[in-house]
Amino acid sequence: MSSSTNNTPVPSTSSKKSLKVFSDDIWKNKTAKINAELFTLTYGSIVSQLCTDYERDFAKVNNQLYSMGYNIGVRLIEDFLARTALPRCDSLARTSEVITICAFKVFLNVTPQVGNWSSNKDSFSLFLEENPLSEFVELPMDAAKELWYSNILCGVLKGALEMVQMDCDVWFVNDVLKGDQTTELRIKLNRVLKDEIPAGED
Amino acid sequence: MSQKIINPSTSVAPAKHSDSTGYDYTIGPQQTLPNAPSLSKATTSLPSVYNESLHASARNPQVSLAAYAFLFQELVTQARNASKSVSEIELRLHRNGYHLGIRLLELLNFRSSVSPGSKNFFKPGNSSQGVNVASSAFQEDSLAQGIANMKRRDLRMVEILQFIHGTVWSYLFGRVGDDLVKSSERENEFMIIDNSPLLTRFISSTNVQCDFFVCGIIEGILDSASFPCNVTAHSVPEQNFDQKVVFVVRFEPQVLEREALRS
Repeated sequence: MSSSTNNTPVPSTSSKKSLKVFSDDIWKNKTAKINAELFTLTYGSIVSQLCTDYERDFAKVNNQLYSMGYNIGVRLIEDFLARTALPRCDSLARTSEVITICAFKVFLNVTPQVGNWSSNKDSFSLFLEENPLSEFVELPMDAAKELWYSNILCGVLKGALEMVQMDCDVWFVNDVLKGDQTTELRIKLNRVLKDEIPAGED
Repeated sequence: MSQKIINPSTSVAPAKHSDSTGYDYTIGPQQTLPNAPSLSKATTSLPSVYNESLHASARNPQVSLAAYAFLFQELVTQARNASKSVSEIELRLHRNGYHLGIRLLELLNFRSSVSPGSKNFFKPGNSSQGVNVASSAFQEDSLAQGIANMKRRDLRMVEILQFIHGTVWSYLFGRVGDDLVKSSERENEFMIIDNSPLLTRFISSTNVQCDFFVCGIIEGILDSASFPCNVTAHSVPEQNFDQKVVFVVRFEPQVLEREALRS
């Protein structure tokens, strides 16, 4: 167990640093890469297609993006664990580090900041200074009110965390695309699911 | 205001000109500078896409292929769920790609005009604020030069196809296309060959041709360059390249007509 006190949820800086070195190495040497702008533009074409399909009902678009993300998340965690072989996190603080320093780095080559811990340490925020999904993007007036453009990320995190037995709520609080100062994504841990044997298997 | 303004003899009260940016008939033409304090404050306080550099070195260049593969897979799933037939799925993928194509033509032409020999043209966005301000005058200079040296628009079929096969392919997939062939049977038909397509690398099924997304990109570029055409993808497995894809570009007759006039 780390010896950190209760009011600083971040364990030790050295473990954080080694995680960073570890993730940078994976990104640099063990990751096949592709043009980030192609990624951005492809995502943009997905969102705009959804907006057309749902006749600009942005609540539905948000939901659809979320469920697409969920589908990605439940499979992405497998890829992530295979790549990193990281052990189970011993605290939510550690989870937050693995998500930001490692997962975001390895997949999207960005590192969000963690902050806004709740007093009972069950929820925190990710601040995305760079967001490869929303480069080049300006929302039209009607979309700016309701659409969470990068909502797919919430789904991905939700799906991935659920697969490591963490039942979380994930949602966007702020988005620079809506005129906010920061892009803030909130993760709240509801409970840790128990490892259960699937029905029908003894 | 130090100037004394003579109002026309109307009953309309003069507008408060200090805040107004539009034309005010009670005052007449006013000089508005682009860097007037009230304006520049409004544009710099909000992070806007228009303030960012388009130069390649200023941007986060890469994400992992895995992340892209996951996203692309969702794109295909979405197309599948919304369609009733295979051709409809392909049409939707094609349409998705088309939106990329029409954006890429201008961007890539701009970049190929400014990139060579101007490494410090547009500082990367993450460099310190102070440096940016200090060198802004220099940047404006080189931007003007860049526009003057802008690459000429591609006017011939072969030129624009080489642009796609070379510049576009290396931009999208990190390498040039494997071959560019002119059909011996039909005048208007060309083929771009990719031995191992990057985007569909993890897709094994052959009954839906997911490379139609790339067809859309190609057609978008050609359309916005005024080369109306029709692009299709055909998978041609070979011994060493079992995912080999041939993109067939069929130009509309008027393109050939125009080409004949120019030669």
